[in-house]
Amino acid sequence: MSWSTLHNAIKTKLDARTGSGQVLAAAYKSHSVKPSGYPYATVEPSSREEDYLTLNDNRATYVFDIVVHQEMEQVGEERAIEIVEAVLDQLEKDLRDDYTLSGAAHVCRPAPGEWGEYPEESGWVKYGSLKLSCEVDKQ
Amino acid sequence: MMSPFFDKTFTVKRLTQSGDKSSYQSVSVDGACMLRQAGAHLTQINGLQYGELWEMYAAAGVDVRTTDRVTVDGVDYTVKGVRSDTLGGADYTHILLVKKTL
Repeated sequence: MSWSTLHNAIKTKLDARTGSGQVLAAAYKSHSVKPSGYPYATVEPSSREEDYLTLNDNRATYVFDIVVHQEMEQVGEERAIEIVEAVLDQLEKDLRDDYTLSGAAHVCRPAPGEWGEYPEESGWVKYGSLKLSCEVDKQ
Repeated sequence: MMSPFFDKTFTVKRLTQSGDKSSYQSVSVDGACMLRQAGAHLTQINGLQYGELWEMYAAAGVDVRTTDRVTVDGVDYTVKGVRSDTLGGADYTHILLVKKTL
């Protein structure tokens, strides 16, 4: 298993929540994008480092940041927070239900991450995140 | 007075809310405009680099708003500001655009 394999597997999970009747407008594999709409989710390898759990288990942990972005100019900050909360709850449930990422990992553990806001050309954007730790058996 | 200089066409997309989701929907197509790269001073006071800030001139009353996306010659820009102005008695709209490469 590799960063690339896990990255693609997580993106596939996010893609399943995009489109009509789903909670996301779009999903991307990097945080800096020109989105087609809101809310959208991004996933990137995290800056947080993890080591082998134990040398005997020969198992490593890869960590990813999943970030949900929602513009605030149209919906306002309070509604933006509610939208991001709902999406994060849904994504966390999806990742707990399929904790192997359909076989890409031994086990994945989503945990609540950072929240904040940032300015875009189109106005202020609220974001919330999940920190996803993926344990992988190394050969 | 300005319209003879409108040598390009533009398309406007606007973020449209539907329930808890929003997407950029086409608002208008084939509007006439003139597009030029903003000068050094204007670019600097907006905290941008050369090539990132552009000025578009279009007819008075054109339906373009801040945060819209404008496409000219296949390139997407985000509308940073819209101002109604007059030159020699002729009304026109002056639009500041940011070119985002990502």
